[in-house]
Amino acid sequence: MSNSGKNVEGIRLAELFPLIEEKLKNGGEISFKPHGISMLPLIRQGKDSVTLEQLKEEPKKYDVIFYRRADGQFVLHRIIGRDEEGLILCGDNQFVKEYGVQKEQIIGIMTSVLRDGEKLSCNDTKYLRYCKRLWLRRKYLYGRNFIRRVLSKVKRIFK
Amino acid sequence: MKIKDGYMIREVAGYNVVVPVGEAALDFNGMINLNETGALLWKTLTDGAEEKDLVAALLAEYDVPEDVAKKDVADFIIKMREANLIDE
Repeated sequence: MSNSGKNVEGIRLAELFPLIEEKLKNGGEISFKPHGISMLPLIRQGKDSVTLEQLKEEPKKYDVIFYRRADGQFVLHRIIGRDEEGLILCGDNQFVKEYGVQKEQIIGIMTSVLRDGEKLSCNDTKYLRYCKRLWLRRKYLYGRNFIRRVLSKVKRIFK
Repeated sequence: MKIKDGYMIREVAGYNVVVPVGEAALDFNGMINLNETGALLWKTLTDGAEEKDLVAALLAEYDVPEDVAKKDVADFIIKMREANLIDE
């Protein structure tokens, strides 16, 4: 999920960033409701809240990290691998991967999600099982998108 | 009455945001922003004050009728109590 927009109080996340950074550096936690649909089905916009902490260990596969892109945009996506360029990121509702994310871009790491009043920890076995199945979801999303593109081309031919 | 220990206001992007200090968790979901008047009352309450002191602080700063000032202070105190930010 990315956030170039406003939170409920109407303050841009970019403006709150010094506060976020300071709080995390002091060992504190941050909670907020992310904007966007790229982390469905785990995080529902406007409903679910995430808690972030400072990154204490090396970032690893399945970690959901909060980072800033070169263009200034804040993003909350999952690490799905690593290559010689850097970390490979992808939202749970996406199939297009983002390459070359550096550890230095990371602001914090997600430690839990609050859904319907229940806190789901990122150490929970149920959560880890969900993470391990995401490659299948990416294949499904890619396939669905492929079929849609084929069908729209077919429609155009027969117009 | 005074503001509980462990909270301060920080000015961020023109807003006065109530922030828990140090390691305590910061939840943007229930974040409290104070306007200019709220920030003044907060600062007055930081060292301890009674309701009448808060009213006096408003009247010293703004040209408003006393009953308006009293109502604003009463509303402010209710909100601060609801947010559990006041030590009586």
